[in-house]
Amino acid sequence: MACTFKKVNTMTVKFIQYWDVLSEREEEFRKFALKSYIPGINDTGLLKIIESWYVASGEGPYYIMEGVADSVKNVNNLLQMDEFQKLNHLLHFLTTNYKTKLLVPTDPVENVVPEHKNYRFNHHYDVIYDKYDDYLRFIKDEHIPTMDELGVKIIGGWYVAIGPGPNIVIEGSCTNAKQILEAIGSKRYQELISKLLTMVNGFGSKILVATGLVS
Amino acid sequence: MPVKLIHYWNVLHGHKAEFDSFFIRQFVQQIDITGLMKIVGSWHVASGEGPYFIAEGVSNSVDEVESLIMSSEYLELRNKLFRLVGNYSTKLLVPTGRISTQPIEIEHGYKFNQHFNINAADYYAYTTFAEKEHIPRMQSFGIEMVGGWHVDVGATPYVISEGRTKDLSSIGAMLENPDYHALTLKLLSMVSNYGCKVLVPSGHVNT
Repeated sequence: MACTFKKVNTMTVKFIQYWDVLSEREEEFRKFALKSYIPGINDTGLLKIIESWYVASGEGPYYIMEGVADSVKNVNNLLQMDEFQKLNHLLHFLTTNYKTKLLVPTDPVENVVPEHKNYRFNHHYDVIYDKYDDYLRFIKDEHIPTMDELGVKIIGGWYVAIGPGPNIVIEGSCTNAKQILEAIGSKRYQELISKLLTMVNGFGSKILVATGLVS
Repeated sequence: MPVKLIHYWNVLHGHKAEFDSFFIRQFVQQIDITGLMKIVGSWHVASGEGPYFIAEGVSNSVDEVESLIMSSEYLELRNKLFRLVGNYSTKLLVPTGRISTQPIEIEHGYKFNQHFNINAADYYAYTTFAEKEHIPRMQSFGIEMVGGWHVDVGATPYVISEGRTKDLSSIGAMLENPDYHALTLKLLSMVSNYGCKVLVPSGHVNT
């Protein structure tokens, strides 16, 4: 099925949460996330949980919860709310290795949200400061078009405003994981990454699969 | 008992052509000529954390690795390599014994490697799970389990479970399969610091 995309407000920010579920608490965690945590956050109106993922390939933590807000202020207001603090307190009984990042849009990627089930292939890295202009040109003129031709649509470019690095996250989306694997096995992809690696440090990538917690 | 010496690095900016020539014509050839180790594969990390380049050498024993790394020829090769690469690190891997060791020859295909630490309290549950469930189920997904290793020397996580496949589509189909997710969740109940990598041949040694 072809994936359609919805443009996001240029002021949209992402609040990303990472964790591992404690041993033997998976079922309890699932019920809590479905019945309390996700609806509780969405009900505040300050942040919308748009997807939850597990890391099918790459480094942990294994769970990623992805929320979008209209502003950094909204995220800050959420974090100060008693309701959110209670929800997070309960979450910490079921999880470990919790961390968060606040992502802010960065050029030159136009951020969109896929409207159907999708798989993600995300890159993360630090741009070498004195190659920044070359990097911007490369992403716009080569990286985005090539990934698109390989079947992976680049749907987001973010910098980590608050939280642990690497500082740039580029999000790719695809309707199936097989397409991602086909892309990364191709010579064109390897040549593209070899070129990217001349402009960035700390490069890594993740393949994300939806957990099914968010309908 | 075969052991693996794994090298990790990133090629320095602007040195790719020089690195390609050095790695193929000197590094691989001269290590192979010693007879103490065979470079069986070189890989790019297509998905997962860097460093981006991985070179794998296999020896018949830890003694042979020791003889190699103490030799002046190896030190000279390493010093030349350091002019072309950064973020260099190595690990010495010894077999866990749960998977039959492979013959020492060039590796082909693609790899799906998982790495983790086993929770101390779950060690025996993990060994049963690995033998009875994890290895057979991974094979049923089309991933041939070719190595189970302990990191004898080098950075943790200290267990590496090594899978191989002839085509990347098997890995893609596995990642889309809810049974794989359930299997991984069971593994995660016994281990910590879990991660995995998809490796594709770099084209220098193997295809």
